[in-house]
Amino acid sequence: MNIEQGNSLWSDAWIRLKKNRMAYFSLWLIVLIIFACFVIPIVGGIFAPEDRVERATNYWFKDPNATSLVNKFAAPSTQHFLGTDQLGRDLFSRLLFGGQISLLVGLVATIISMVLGISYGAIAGYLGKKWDAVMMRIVDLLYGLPFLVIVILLSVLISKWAKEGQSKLEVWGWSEALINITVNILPLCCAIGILGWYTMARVVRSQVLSSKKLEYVEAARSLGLSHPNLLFKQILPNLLGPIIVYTTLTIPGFILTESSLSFLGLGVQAPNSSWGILLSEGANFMETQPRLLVIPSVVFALTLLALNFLGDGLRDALDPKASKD
Amino acid sequence: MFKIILSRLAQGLLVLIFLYTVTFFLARWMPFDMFTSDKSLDAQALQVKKAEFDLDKTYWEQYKISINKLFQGDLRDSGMMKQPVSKIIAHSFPVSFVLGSAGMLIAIIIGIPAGIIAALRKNSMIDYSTMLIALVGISVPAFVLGPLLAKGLGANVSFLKVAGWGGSFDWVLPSITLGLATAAYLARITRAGMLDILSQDYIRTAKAKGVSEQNIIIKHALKGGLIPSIAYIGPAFAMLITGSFIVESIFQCPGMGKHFINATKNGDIFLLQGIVLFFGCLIVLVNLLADILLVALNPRLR
Repeated sequence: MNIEQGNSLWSDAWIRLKKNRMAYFSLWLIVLIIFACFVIPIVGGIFAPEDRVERATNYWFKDPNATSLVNKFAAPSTQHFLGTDQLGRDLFSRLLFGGQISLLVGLVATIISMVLGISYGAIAGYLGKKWDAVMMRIVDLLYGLPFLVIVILLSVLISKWAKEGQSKLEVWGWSEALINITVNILPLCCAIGILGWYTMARVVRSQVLSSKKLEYVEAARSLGLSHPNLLFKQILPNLLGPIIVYTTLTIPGFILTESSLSFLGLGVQAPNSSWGILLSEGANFMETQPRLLVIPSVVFALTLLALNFLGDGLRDALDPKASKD
Repeated sequence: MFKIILSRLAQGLLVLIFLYTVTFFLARWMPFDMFTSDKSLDAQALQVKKAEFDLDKTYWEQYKISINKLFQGDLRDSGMMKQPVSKIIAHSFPVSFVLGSAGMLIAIIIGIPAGIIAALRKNSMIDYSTMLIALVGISVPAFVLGPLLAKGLGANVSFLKVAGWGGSFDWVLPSITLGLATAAYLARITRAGMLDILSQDYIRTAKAKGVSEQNIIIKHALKGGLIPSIAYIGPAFAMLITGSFIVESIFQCPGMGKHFINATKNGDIFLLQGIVLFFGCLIVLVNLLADILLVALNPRLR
């Protein structure tokens, strides 16, 4: 006997996403960029020769922080795929390592803001009435704060706390790389994430508010399920569509925030680098060495563009009603 | 109407109190203060200096003094620039205001017509290309666009300077840089708003009655279709005035953003508090005006 298999929401959405050529292409571009930024440096680092001179002269993947004043502003060659910068550092490896930090900050900050926004919005929507009114008024209040200003102040403060705790991490035996990320990168992610959840809270709140009246929730309630179970196991999984869409659209915004701060000298600090730092350094040599500005700009803009395209495409795919216009 | 304004005012006041308190503590918990970089001071001189700024007192006492002085209209002195904070703001605000207003104007002139045209020619090549350009505009950050514009235009057009402030055309490049991203958002919002209205029944009725397309758009669709755009313009304008740090640093304009960044880097707490409070007032004021305008335009909100 043949049983006709219905399409699930997700397989339907996948088919619709594939049909949207720009979004589908963006998806693969993002996969490629993530692969390049995370896999190439790791593989390149594992097989790198121990000797620094050997690595600087004969190996294809250079140390991003190895300076060489003889080699400054070298043109692209088989030695340096994208040439070198004002200190003779290899632009190719700096671009990939910078991408790691930029993508990481965007992702971690987004995760923090999603956790905050989803729980806050879901609780406000689920409680409803007075609680909802009070909680949403608070969000309105927070919306009135100048975002970038508070992010800057908060990240300075959190990184102070992180530096104070650094010796403790060393005692606990954390590896150097992990301590570096915790002390120098994580504070920035926290500052952006802590201040970036308001819109998500509004989106989730309005969705919860409307879907808690649906029959299936009514049925689940009459079965005697507990409130947390109802909210987090019955209602929230059905809101995954809008949540995914909004998450995808948040990441490029946060990457942009990080780069702006780094550009102003208030974000990621040396020896770490991010795309924002590459861009701000490149802008200094715009006249004589346009390559140092143009190459990071193109990669950076393409990444944000692809993420925005994918977000738009996902919205069309997951919410066909909204895309009929 | 009056009730709405009053409730918005009360809410704005709450925002300002909250903002001031948060900034007060963030500024004092910073890892450095204005004397950290000055190595010439010995312990005693440092004490005297700190006392001058009340930094030797408890947080609570400092907070009380700050609020008291605030009500007398005194924003205290900047430690680094040895000037009253109010004077620094008075000098730098016009720069930020000119940049923000010109940027907003550019955004409106480009964004709204682009959005309307895209909506009217839905799913055509014009629509697709406009929205593609808008998405590119959102994705290209100011610190990429600024240097590129400076290189492309500033180097070739004689009266446009790459950096600096004082000439009569110096606002052009920074304002374009500032306005283009907002133009892109505005185009997207306008298109969505127009599409929403164009699919309404009363537009179909008007069409059925034989009203010309031109009349439908001008008399019926624009009125409702632009409401989301107008709602966006208010907060966006506040954001442009208070968030032009990057543009000001690229083109070296002496605006408030520059002072804020310097105050943060140097731990100049009174300058920091003053500027943030001023930013807050601006945002509250602009949003209030936008709300009033929206209510006036949309009778359903009354």
